[in-house]
Amino acid sequence: MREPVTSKPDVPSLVAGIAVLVLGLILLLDATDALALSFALLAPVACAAAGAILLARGLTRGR
Amino acid sequence: MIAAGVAIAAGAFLKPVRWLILPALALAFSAGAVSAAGIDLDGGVGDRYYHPDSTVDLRDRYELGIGELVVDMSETDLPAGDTPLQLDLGVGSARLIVPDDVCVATTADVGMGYAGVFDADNEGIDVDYDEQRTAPPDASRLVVDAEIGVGELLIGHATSDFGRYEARFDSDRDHLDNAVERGMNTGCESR
Repeated sequence: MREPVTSKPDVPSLVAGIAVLVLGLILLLDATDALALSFALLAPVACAAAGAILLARGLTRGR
Repeated sequence: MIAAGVAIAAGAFLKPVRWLILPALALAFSAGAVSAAGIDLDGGVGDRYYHPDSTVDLRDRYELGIGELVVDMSETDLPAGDTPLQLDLGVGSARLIVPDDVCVATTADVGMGYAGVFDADNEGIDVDYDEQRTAPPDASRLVVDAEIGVGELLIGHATSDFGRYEARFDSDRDHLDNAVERGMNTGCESR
């Protein structure tokens, strides 16, 4: 039996998906030379992505 | 990566795929680190030794993926004026040995590692080394543009006991590790 489509999105998955999408876009821009990716840029972006996912998971825990 | 992000985000509305988050993030961060370091594995793996005798033998670009790249120009007869030289190394050590009477202007990007150019050096993450020296009139200037992913770039002179035989077969190029033994950029105009 097919599972019903949930009315409310799973927030941690949504935030993680957007974070991975943004990281993928940054890699794409770097590969096309539209952006010069360096550790100085990657480090804060990675921290922000991980932080957003942890925050989303923490805020929705127990729901 | 973009597809994984879309799949995870779309799954949040349909059927959450939380198990995909961790591997996708691990892959994204790993790919980001490789990209940020500028690691380019074109050029193969191993040790490469080049000893051009003249500008005819001299390439304008030397490339290696992983390993030790040595360009020994200690006996290369360079013409007056600028001679461009590009060094691309993914992971490893790039060593450039230049004649005493040649001025060297260097631009180097090292993702993670060490850049030692004669008596100057710089190390760490996102190392940008830029020293544009000028040569006296009618003198030779080597314009080096180096891209190193992870590893070291060493530019210096050959020492008196640093012969071609040793350089080729013994891999005895350790004098370049020492800033004092690399010598000074003596071919340039004094500042």
